[in-house]
Amino acid sequence: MSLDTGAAPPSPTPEERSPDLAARPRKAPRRKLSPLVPIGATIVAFIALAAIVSFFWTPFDPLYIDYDHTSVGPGVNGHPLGTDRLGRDIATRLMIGARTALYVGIVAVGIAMLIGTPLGIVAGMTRRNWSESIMRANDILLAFPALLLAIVLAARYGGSITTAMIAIGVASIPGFVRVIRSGTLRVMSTDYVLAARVAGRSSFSIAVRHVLPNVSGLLIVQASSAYAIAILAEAGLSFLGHGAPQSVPSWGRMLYESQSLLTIAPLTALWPGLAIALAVLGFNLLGDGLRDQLDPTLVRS
Amino acid sequence: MTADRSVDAAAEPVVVLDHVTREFRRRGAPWQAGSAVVALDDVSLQIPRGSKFGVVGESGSGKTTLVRLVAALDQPTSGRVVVDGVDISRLQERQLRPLRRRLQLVFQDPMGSLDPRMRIRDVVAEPLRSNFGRKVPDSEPFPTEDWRARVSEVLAAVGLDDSALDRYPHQFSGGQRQRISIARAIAPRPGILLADEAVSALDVSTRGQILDLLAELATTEDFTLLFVSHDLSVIRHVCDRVAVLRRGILVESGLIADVYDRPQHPYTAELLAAVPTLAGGVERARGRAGDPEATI
Amino acid sequence: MTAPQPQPSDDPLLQVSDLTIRAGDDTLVRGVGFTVGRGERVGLIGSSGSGKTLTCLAVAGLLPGELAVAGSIRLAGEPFDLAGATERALAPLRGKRIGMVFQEPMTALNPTMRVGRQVAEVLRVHRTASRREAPAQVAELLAATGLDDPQRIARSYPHQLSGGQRQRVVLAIALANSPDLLICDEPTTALDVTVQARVLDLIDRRVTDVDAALLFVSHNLAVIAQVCDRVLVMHGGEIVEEGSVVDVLTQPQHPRTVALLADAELTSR
Repeated sequence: MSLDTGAAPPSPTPEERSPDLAARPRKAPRRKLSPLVPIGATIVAFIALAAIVSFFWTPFDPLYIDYDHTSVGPGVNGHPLGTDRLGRDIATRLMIGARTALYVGIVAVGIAMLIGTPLGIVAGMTRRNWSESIMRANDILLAFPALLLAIVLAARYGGSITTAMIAIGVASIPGFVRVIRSGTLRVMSTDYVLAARVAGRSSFSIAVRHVLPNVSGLLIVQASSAYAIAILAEAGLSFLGHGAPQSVPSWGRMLYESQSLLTIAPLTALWPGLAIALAVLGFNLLGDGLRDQLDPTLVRS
Repeated sequence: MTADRSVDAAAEPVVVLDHVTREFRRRGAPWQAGSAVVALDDVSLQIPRGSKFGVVGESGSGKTTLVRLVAALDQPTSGRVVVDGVDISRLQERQLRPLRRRLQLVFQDPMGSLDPRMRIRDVVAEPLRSNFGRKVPDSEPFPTEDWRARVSEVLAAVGLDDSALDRYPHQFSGGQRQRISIARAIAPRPGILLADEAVSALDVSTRGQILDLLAELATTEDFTLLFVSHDLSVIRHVCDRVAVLRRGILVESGLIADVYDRPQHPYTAELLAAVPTLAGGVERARGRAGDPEATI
Repeated sequence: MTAPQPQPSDDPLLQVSDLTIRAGDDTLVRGVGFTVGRGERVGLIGSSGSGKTLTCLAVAGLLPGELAVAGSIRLAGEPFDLAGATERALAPLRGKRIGMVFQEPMTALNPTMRVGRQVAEVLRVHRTASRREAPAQVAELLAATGLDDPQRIARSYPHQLSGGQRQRVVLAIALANSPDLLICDEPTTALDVTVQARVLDLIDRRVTDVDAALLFVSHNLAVIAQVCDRVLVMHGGEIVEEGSVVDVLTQPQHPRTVALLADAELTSR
């Protein structure tokens, strides 16, 4: 089969002949950073800073009780945010409370992540029967409110930060299992996992070397969201009296104690409430922003 | 029924499908019988060692199932699949693993066949270093300690250099990624390379290069090439034999020249006639323009 | 000896002048200009990244918002410039004066809506048929695309149809209101080769039936040659060669065209 050709046109250069040869490895295209991320990150950093600084310095000694200035407003007698009903400096307690909030979050989310992630991966990689069993057990756990769990634990072992952390942690597991499982299913359907099987990798090796790195984005996002929920849960538990005991400053506890003063000194409730709201906002923004950033389905080529 | 008209089948076949059937049953509700989809129906095929064997089929032909069966990613409902003298039809994963190096795959989608989180060095070395470097009982004499050298060697063989080693897949074009896939596949010195629609997702301009590369490597690396595609012309470009699949049935097979020039089955003829040609297009255009030179 | 050139009409249906499309600092399409006469069939060919799809989208007014458009796109009979026009001005044109068929029929059809209803939708939106008249017209349109048992097809959901059937439905929707211009972007690439041949024939026939102009985008010259009279070769965002199909295929001038011919040679026996 030949077509007429008249005078021969200039023969194509290699680049014209095939764009492929010309392509040089290009730098990763810059994704626009979602504005949520820096805002969320700043808030979280601020809270973390307050917590860290609290180890070295607080406006007042945490044990100092200003007998003459209980329930005063901001600015009185050197108290930047005022004092609570016992005369303890609010700003100081907020900073130390930040430690509790972050600490509880880390442990609770840690528990959820360490247990939930392997479960999610296994649920995504195994045969139907096993996978279904895990998910149904997961559903049962999901039906249990963290609060109920905490109360049960508190009743058995006495209320404390530890029981709060464990309760919240366990209650956060189902979220991780679901998210990680869906991510795992997606990874398992790719050709590169098939290539790994053909290369001779065992399932465990595929889970560690291929699945885990590719669901890490999901993991980070889930962890941020779970963190926000954990802080809220801890505050709730403390507010109800099942979380941090009297001796440990916690935002939830501060809210609890300010109930009786609500009409006379509403600010005492405002500050811890604001702190909780800010922390939740910060982690949520961070989580949302990271998800927008990392979600491959949102990539525009 | 096969109509194999190959003249010389003296070389011992490297892959044999012996009355292979693969059914997929769908369980209906408890009171229903459920239905079955027959992806491959009593297919018997022999692939001579050292050949470049094409399998042509449109969607629903069963070619994907064929690929999975030969690559030991699936098991036949009945019949035998013999690869390199070993009946792999009923083997467990544990038994298959040491044999996997003998047969490697190149996939269709250059985007999805490379782990986006792995550097090229690790991607290409994967078949050489599986299972955390634990020595897999070697049936092939491959010195597992020299994997770095081998990686550089295969990258060079596909036209890329060591600068690629530390990069990630997204930094390469589709054609380059496919080359990396090929490098990965030939690294363990497989006796058989299975290309599943290896150029279908590539730009028409890049296809020729990749096909030529595969043909060249088949000789230099000494493997049997099994090329599965829906594209007749692509198969003609690189293969010396071809088998035609239609709805799970092997309709015709033989030497390329025979099948393409004198197709015996009406379906094959239909496939061949459907491919748009430049010459045909020019004729039609002339006809539309009312050109006196037109022959249509 | 060359085939007679189609005479450029004084009143072209579509006139694109100096079209430039930018994404941030990158210029994706540069100074593209061409005309499409009434009832003329123009092919747009180039490898991926050549800008052919973007040009197509620009004519249909479907460019993503982040891209900056300069230049002019004039459609005969419309007082405004399509380039940079608002969605409000463009929407009435789509489905009425301009029909579109894209590569992936599955994403062009709503998976949750019966196919017949989707065809009816384009008739109703542009008031070509009332609610009572629609079903009959839908059946007619589906039958015209060669679908057997159009009533059953109309009642089906997209996932119940094969790729070829879906693409025929998309074509029916695109041609429902007898548009002046049909834009096809790789309409047969995702189809099996036997189906591809039939759908190409179908496009050829139907475009003649409704007397529409055709703007056909592909990376395969052999495919373009089946249905087009004139072809524009794009590379790196620019038009590097243009002419009648017969001329360009038999006497290519630009090295890029020669390269594309060689590639088509590969994929067309």
